Amino acid sequence: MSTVLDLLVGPFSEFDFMRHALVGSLALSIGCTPVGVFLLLRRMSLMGDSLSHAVLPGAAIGYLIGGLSLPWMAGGGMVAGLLVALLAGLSSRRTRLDEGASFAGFYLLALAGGVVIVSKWGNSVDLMHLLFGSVLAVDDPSLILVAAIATVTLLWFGWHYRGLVLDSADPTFLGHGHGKSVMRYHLGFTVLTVMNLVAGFQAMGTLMAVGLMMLPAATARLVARTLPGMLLVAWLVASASSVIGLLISYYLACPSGPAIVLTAGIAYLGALLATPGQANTAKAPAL
Amino acid sequence: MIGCHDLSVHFGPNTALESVSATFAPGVLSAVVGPNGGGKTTLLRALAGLQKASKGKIVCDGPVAYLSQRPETDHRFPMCVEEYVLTGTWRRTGDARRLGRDEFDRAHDALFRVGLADKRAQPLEVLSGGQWQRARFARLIVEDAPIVLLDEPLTGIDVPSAELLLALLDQWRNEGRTVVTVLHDLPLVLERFSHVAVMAGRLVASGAPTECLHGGLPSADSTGSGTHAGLSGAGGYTARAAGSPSASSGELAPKGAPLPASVMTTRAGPR
Repeated sequence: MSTVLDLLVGPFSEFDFMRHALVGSLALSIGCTPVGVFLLLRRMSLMGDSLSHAVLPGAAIGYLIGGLSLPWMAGGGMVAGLLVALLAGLSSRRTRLDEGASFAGFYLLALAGGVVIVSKWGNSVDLMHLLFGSVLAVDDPSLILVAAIATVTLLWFGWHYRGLVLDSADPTFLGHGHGKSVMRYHLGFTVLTVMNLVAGFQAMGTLMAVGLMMLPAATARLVARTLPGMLLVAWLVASASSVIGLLISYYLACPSGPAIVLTAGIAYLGALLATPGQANTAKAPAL
Repeated sequence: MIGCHDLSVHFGPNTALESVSATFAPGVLSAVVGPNGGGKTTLLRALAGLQKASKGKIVCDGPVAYLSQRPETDHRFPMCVEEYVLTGTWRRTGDARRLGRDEFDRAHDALFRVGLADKRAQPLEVLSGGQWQRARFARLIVEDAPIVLLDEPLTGIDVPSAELLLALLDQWRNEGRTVVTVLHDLPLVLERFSHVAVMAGRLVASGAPTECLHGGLPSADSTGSGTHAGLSGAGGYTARAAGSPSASSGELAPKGAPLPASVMTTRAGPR
């Protein structure tokens, strides 16, 4: 028994960087999962993916200017992500392209630009670090950043929960009446999405950051019936995936981001198999 | 009261509404009628604040409740029928205010009234098309707005649902609310509404239904056929609309040709 406990707790009690990674990914789980659940319910699951790629060139430019410095990389990523969201939003409103096509166009541009920037002026180690993250990169300032973003996310969701639910389920209803701006829900939510992706990319990398967002949310959608239930299940799955993924990454000596995402992916596959043919169920009460 | 002054709405090069000025008074059942593509929905959306006006302005003296032509709610959203109906309290509670006991009571009463009390705790996706419409009526009751805009509320519902809505309309009128309804059922308009606005890209006529839809129509003058009067001419308004310069006459019935009865009686409910 104590051997099992040693195997589970040992890496975290022994190594400072593992403790940092654990706290970081648990904080990330708190902030990312509500964002993921609402991305899924707004049928914007792939927008999270696009935005996570869009963060890359900004983070790369920040990295080239300031090295492995948190303010530069996070700031650069934030600016690039918001810029892509803004441009894609504008192009879907002003042209006949829908939101999906607009995002696809701009995120591909950003991703390619980011890879060119890093490979031209950095090296392949830098590129791998940006794309897949590194637990060693989670230092105290990163932890503070991740925790701050999780806090802001929870506060925003707490304050705007009802409006966001309406904006997701019934935007026309929210939009009618005069003089009230309802864009703040969409805009605020987009900003939060980018913030959480920026929080995630230090530990998870830009390619993997979205995994902790969407996979627990998809699992929760399959398992839970109500929205609060979904939020709870998603958070539990993300937290458990973080712990298990970090242990896998430690024992198998593989990158932490993919290990965490793989664990969440296994939970997702399990939920898929455990809930077959429930597309039109809904016999049981939803309350 | 709700109304618009010199309202124009353009979609790119296309004009949906041209210089419409209309006022809908409180305590009166008002109908908006007109051919397909006549701008009825655009007018209602503009009045509801959902459609930006290219020109002109909207005047209203209170909160507006709007029932769109089709349900635009994501019916797979994890939400139960009662929660859906409670979203009608949004204007009063907003993001943060607590839902009081009275709001829950109001929602329960509304669900009972529309006959969905037993579906209260069911997820939205179990509702059929007609039940959806009833759930939307229940939300309208909970919204409790002094101005109610309804876009073809009777389309695709059964007789009891239609009766339910008509009773609601009467109640709202008696309570002094402003009620504006887009309808295609002209006999119903003649029977139960006291004000009508006839739309065909612009405001063709407005006033008492008997004047606008019956003898008041210069259909015989403008078409020269004289073979029909009032309602028999493609639903009553089209002869007039066809005579107007801005109406698109392409989709209208041949002038003077009576339409089959099935075209005229779109409402399932009893008169």
